[in-house]
Amino acid sequence: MPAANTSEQDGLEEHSADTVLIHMKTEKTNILIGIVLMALAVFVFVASRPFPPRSQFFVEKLAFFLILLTIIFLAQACMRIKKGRKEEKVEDAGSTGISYSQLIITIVCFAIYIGLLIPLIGFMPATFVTLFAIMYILGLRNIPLLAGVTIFLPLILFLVFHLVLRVPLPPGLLFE
Amino acid sequence: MFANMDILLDGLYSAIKVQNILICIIGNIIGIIFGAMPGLTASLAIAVLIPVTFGLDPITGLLLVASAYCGAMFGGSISAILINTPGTVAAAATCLEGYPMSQQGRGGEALGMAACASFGGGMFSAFALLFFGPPIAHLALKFGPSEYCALGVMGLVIIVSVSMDSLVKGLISGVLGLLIGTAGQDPIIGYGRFTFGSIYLLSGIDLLAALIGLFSVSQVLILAEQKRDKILAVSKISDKILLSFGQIRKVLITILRGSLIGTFIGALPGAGATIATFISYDVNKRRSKHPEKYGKGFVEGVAATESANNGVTGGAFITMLTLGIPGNEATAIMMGALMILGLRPGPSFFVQGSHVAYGFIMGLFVANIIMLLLGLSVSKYFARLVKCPNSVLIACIIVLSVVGTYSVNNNMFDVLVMFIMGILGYLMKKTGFSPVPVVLGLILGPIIESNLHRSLLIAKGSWSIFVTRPITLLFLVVTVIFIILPFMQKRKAAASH
Repeated sequence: MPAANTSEQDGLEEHSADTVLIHMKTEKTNILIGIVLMALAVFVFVASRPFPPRSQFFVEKLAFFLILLTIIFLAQACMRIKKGRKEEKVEDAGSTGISYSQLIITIVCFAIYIGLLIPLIGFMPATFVTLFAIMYILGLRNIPLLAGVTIFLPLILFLVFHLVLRVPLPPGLLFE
Repeated sequence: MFANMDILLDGLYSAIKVQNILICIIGNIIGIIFGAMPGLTASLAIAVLIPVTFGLDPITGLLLVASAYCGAMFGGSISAILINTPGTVAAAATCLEGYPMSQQGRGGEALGMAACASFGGGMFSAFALLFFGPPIAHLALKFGPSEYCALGVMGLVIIVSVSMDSLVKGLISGVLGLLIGTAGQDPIIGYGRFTFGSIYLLSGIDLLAALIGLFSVSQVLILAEQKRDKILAVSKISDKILLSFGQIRKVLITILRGSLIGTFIGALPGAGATIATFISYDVNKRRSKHPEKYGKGFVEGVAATESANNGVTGGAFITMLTLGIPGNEATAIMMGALMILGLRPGPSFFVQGSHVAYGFIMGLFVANIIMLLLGLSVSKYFARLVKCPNSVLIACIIVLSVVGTYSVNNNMFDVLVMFIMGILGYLMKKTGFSPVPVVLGLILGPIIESNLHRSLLIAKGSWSIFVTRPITLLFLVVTVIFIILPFMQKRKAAASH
């Protein structure tokens, strides 16, 4: 069992001992995040100007609060930089290493599934294709498991949602 | 307040009839399945079963839907524990401890504790309904808009202080959630905010889509970035489900606290189970002998959230039966069932419909016992799901998330929202921001905003209403304490070093 690994320093987030998350935390990232948050807060404030007063009230208060919090957040980050704290990289004991290519492939497959396949060919065919593609691309070579999941999961979902519960599944242009 | 013994015995006799026991089993099974599946909510389980109640005896019909409700509240913890995807919104807090336990090969233990704690919460709230229903309901009536607003703010701050070490980051996440929740028609005058001309955004960001995205899709992306296909470094999955007497004794106080919090908050119309579970988590963490273990797969944390989760069921029934006010979506649908059965919930329900009222309440005890037995039976098999390779889990969760999200409004726009929130949740996790406060902001935002406006209307624009009403003031004082407490604790820790 992976050893517990917790550290608690300023600006360093906690994480579960046995997850395989890798936290990379730099103060420069924090500064960037702070700038993005400040831009968002200003955008919200400006965008809420045309709202009627009652609609604007809550949004305006939230924007102000976000600006205040972001200033505190940036101040904390600047103080840590000033004190000369080094960049912290904490790797969980159970980590297996990061593969950003796998991550990007998964995101792309997901986007193609919901943005292209389902609207085009409908839920069932799109799911058959996507399940197989994702599992295969991510390295599954166990053919029975690959085939079993690809075939049975969509069928079970169809049975439960469409036939039993009468809940519509996403239709497509070519197949309903 | 206290029913006479004849009525109680009559109710018990009705509850233990064979047909009612069978109906509790069926209701629980359906409820657990609906609860475990993201996108199939407790409310949907009840709605699906309403037509079935038409031909049933009133007590039997009510027990069917109530069992489904209890089962669904437990069922939500199954997917929360195993795949970090809360099956019901209320199970979101269970992810905090349950999923790490599952990652350590102790998913069965987490599920077993979830079943036991849910049982404890359900039984406690059923007792509260039986003996203290009317007084709790009258206390709930004292809550006005300012109390609800303050409760919402307090709940958000408490949850922020639970979710992460950095209070500032937690508050930023919470405010982001509140801001995202402002998209759509505002609850005051219906003006469309941040719709960018899209009709889909008029109804705002769907809560379930955001929840599934922030929890489930972000977790999928975290799994996807791992090089190795196995998610567990442990060689053995523990088959332990049943807890020892010693383990139960250790968490008994936690379960009692959670049950009390869940029952009371469940009795507040509109407060919701989610706020109860997170408050219970925080309170129990602070009172725990081992607060440092929270967040790392601590079974006590599962007990805290699940006891509150099911404690809400009885609490919600209190206001439904005694005042005729549905506390949440599920009880609103159940009230429909009551009316179809010719019953009128309200102050006279326990007098004019005492046979049905007490038969139903006694039946709740039976339903909770059955939920416990079913929960413990299925836990062992569900726990083995973690043996699945990452690739299978990733693919299945993606498909289940899409189906679950689409099934709510039959709208692919919600699926797009889920996808975007998933990427946001992933980025938040990678940069040390917790997505939990975002979800809570989304849930509490409308409650806070609408009650804030109502409070100011009542007080003719004066903010003094928030300091002159005692319960409101109490909540705000607690909020300030929870904001200051982390700083004081850090200073104390630094001084001791």
